[in-house]
Amino acid sequence: MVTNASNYGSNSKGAFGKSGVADWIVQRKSAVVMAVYFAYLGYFLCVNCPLTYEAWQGLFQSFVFKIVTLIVLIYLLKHAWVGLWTIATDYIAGVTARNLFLFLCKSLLLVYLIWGSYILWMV
Amino acid sequence: MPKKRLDSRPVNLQLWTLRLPVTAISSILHRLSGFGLFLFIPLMLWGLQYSLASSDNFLSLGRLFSSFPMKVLLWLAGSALIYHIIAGVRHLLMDIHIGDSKQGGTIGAYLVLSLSVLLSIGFGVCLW
Repeated sequence: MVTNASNYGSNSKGAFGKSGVADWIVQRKSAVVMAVYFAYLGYFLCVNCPLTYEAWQGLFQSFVFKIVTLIVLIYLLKHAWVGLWTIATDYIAGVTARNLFLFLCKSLLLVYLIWGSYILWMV
Repeated sequence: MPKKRLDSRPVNLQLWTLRLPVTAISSILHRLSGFGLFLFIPLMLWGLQYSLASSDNFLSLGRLFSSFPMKVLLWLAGSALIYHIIAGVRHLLMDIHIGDSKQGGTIGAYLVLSLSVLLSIGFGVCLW
């Protein structure tokens, strides 16, 4: 059993305050879900080439597709968060600077979540 | 371990003097494309919002995206996504022990790079 012998700041180990394994799983799960979603989107764009406003709007008016899109958006933001956290902990040594950067990133991700929800519900 | 500013070990920050193996290049491109995609998110969200707002908006967006600088921007975003997904698939394969040997890693890196360049060019052809 490994005990954390670090003398630095807080003892949180991962992007969500959980283990590195948790981060690893979030990345894989979100990646697979997003890959399937984008594959479907690619297929849709191929079938509807050239794309018309009616087809595009119709796609996003579907209630099922709205829910799926919102879930994928949440997965995207989690995926991005783990990546950004990794970049921050790799390159930004200063605790204050790193936390400032992470605060900025998390705020942006929250904005994207709310903005994305708004877009989907306005269709 | 001493704090960074008291550390007297030599540092080489001239990254261009370092010869990186192809696997390292593949890896850092994965990270860079990921960060780049994060920066593209607001543009994509705005595009989605604008394209769904009205039929006129949809058409004017098409005209906007037919300009050369916008096509370059779209191509960059698309290429980043293409690379990131292909390199990501390589990560997943290595997780189930496909290509996780030393030779496998090198071959995998070359495959990812060449496949991405190919699809990226294809995407460019689609745009133009």
